[in-house]
Amino acid sequence: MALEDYREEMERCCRCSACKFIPMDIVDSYEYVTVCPSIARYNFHAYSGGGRLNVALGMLDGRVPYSEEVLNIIYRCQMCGACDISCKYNRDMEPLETLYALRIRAVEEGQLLPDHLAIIEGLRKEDNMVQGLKADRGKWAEGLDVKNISKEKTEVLFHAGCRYSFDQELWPLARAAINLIKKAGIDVGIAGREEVCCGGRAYAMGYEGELIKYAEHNGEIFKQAGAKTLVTCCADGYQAFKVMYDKVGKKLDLQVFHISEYLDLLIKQGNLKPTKKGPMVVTYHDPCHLGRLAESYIHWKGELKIEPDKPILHVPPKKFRRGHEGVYEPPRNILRNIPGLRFVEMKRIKEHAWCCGAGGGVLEAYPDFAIWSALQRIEEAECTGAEAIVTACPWCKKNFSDAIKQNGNRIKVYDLIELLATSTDAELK
Amino acid sequence: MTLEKDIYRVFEDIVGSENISDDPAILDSYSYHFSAVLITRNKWMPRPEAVVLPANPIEVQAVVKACNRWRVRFHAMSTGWGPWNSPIKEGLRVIQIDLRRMNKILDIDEKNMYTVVEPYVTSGQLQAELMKRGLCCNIIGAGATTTALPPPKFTGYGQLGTTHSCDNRNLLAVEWVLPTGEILNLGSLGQDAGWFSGDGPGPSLRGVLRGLMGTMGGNGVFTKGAGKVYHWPGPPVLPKKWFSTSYAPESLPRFFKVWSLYFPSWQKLADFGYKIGESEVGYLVFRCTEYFNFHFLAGSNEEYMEMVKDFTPPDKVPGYAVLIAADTESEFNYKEKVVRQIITETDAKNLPLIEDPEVQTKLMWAWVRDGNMLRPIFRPTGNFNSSFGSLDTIDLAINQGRVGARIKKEYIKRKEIMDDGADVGWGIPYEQGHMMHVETVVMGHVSSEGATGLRHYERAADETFLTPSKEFPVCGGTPLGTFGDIQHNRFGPRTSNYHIWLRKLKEAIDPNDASDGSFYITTSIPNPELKDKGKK
Repeated sequence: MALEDYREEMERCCRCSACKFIPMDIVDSYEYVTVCPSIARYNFHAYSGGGRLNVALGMLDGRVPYSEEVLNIIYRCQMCGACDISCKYNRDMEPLETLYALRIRAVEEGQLLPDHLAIIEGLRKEDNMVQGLKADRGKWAEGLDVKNISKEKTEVLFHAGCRYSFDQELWPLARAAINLIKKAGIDVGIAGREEVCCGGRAYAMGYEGELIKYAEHNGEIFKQAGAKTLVTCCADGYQAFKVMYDKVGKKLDLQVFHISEYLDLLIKQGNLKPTKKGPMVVTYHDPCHLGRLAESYIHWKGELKIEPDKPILHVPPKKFRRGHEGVYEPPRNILRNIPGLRFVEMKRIKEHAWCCGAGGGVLEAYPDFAIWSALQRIEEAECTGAEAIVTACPWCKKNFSDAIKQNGNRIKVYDLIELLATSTDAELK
Repeated sequence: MTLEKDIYRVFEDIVGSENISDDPAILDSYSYHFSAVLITRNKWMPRPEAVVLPANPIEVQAVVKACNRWRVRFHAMSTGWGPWNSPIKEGLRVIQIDLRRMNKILDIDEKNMYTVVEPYVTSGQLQAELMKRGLCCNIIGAGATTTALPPPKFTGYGQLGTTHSCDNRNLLAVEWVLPTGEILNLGSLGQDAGWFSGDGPGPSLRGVLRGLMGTMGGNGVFTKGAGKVYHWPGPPVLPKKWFSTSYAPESLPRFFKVWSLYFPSWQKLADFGYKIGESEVGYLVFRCTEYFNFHFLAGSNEEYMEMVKDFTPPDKVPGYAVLIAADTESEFNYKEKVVRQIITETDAKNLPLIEDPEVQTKLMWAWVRDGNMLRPIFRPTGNFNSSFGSLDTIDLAINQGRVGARIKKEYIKRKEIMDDGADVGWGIPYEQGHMMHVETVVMGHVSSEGATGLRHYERAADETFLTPSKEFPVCGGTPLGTFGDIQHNRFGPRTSNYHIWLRKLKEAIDPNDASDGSFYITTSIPNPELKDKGKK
């Protein structure tokens, strides 16, 4: 849908500022009730979800030309969807869709950020979002005894994702994921060097074409591999494969799991047993792309009925994705299953989790804002008394780690995989 | 009109370059309003010249003084979201002061039961903190994202008004940046005696400060304020069921009970208000129809339509939402007994749906936290208007509700406004029934046609105040939307000419006309009636 198609929704924004907060129904303290990093950092109303709807309407009405400030408004946003979830708690509206359309329009009209363009050019050349060389993609798996789909088919296919593939600090985690799956007796394969990006982060930056291209490519590769199950340890990838491909009409014909879901299943089936104690107080950060953004896409083909004496009705009724069907319990189950680990929740959790700061191209174009957002979350984690913040997304882990290093906090950051690997004696190197 | 660069720099020097902008996109996010269409026939109010984000009262004062110096007007806002946050017309040379960065709770005095807050503390946040301490605060009808600071809160009407009064009365000491830039501390603060009193020993200017309707940014800037808070008999934190669109407590707290009552006549409805007020057993009592309750429960417009499709009200006239809450079993038993007695005496009937414990809990929370008012007011069509709503006796308020519903029916028949059943009068008997307001809300679409319908209704409602009738043989007070020169000039002559005094006060307090009185009052439009009589 084009930006114009969202005009009706822009005009229904009542400027209530719900998009800036978690729903007031669940607020039980003064602290940690804001949910949008952008408005929290930049303060002008235009930097909120509702404010961006106002700006988009101003652009459609010819009132607002592109400017440096407009680009800041458009791109200083992690596209985390928190505003969307908070708004639709009380309204039949989906602000995030307008935000996507706004970005896509900006890109179409050449209103790009140089930092994003560099990443996208790298993607087009080397098929990854971290400016690595395609030839190096499979190096994380060197020496690992695992099938490669270039040589043989596999029913269970593991997708590492760009960050795990190229960030050497994260290689042990990707390897540990394979080891855990194999330890559970599962026959798994990888694409290795031939693996390519999911296209999800490019879409969030406004590059719709890249998502479609990779959706088609990956769909074909997975089919040729004979894969019936896709397991990824990247939250961005999970959302792309499960939700975004379906959104653009390229739904994959296989079952998609995030590694946390898959490992939780293996534990429940008794195929993995965490036995080693990990005495530590931890809290869990819900990645946006594994949580509120990971609900299955719901296609709706209907009509918005607007009659002067009736409320606005979707015909047929539209089912809204409100964020509560994301992957929340599997990571928590895993943590609860690790002996000696004491798990405490933060205030903003599940569909109302505060974004780590790395999404939507912010890490690439506004690294200071990304770090700022991460530090807000780290402070929240520290307030729980936790010694470590655990997450299930490499982008979250990287951004938290960088923020902690920069700011000198003592709290540690772990990926779920490494905690489970340690507890099950799976190799972690 | 653009602010001159050197004047822009004056403000930039005060707040810092990150906290000021005159970019069109930023300005548009402040000039967009849901009901601008009622005034300008599109979604946009006039843009401010710039937006500034001061961090503290000293910066606010400096901005205001600069406005006086450089002949720029200012219009302050915090959490507000109506067109009254903007200038009413082009050419007024107004800068927007957004108080967003001033968001701290400064004090919670549990013993003396008041709080001190900055403008951008939300009511929801404050209520949550208070509940941990066995206290509670009023939340105005617009909902829990609105400010907790009493002075700017429009009329200050909220569903807890039976026990929590209304915020035009909850106001204690205030730190007020006058339109001239002086900082005036009112009440006990004026003599450095703390925040506990709005009436002394320092200057008591509560009526002047904000009056009944509030000042809509037209009378300086309120940078801190103390407000009364009240007892909360419930638990400090209510564990919630975590499922959108219904984040409600897991169960009704101990010694809480709710009703949603319907009555055989308007008179019985009024009688109930008096009786429950006299008995002083109600914790929360407000005029509530199934329109509100079903919207609170429904997750979408479609779900709401399903709920009302086959609904038959228990009796002719809706009704009151009633919550009793007690600290002990004996107190609870007593209160319940009294309510049942009053129900019998007024022939009230309970909404059958509310027998469901889950419904009771959801509704109780919707009424107390007021986190769902967006559903009945904005979800249906995106725009609304309101009228009647004078603060007076219960009888008068109920009568206004009755008349409001009757007038609405005509416009529903003409399909100019949304058919919501017509009787959507929302109101509260404040301070155990000593006074009440009932406003009749109307919903219309965001288009200019929808706005036309809303305006037609408002004019018809206003006319009932201006023209004596059987319902209102003398003027029935002033309607809720009495702000701005035109409305003050219309209703003032019929209500002791308050508008003359209001204009004199504006002139005295704001000699340089620096505080944009677009939606408050200005000295620029004289009262034509008085002019004719040769008076100023």
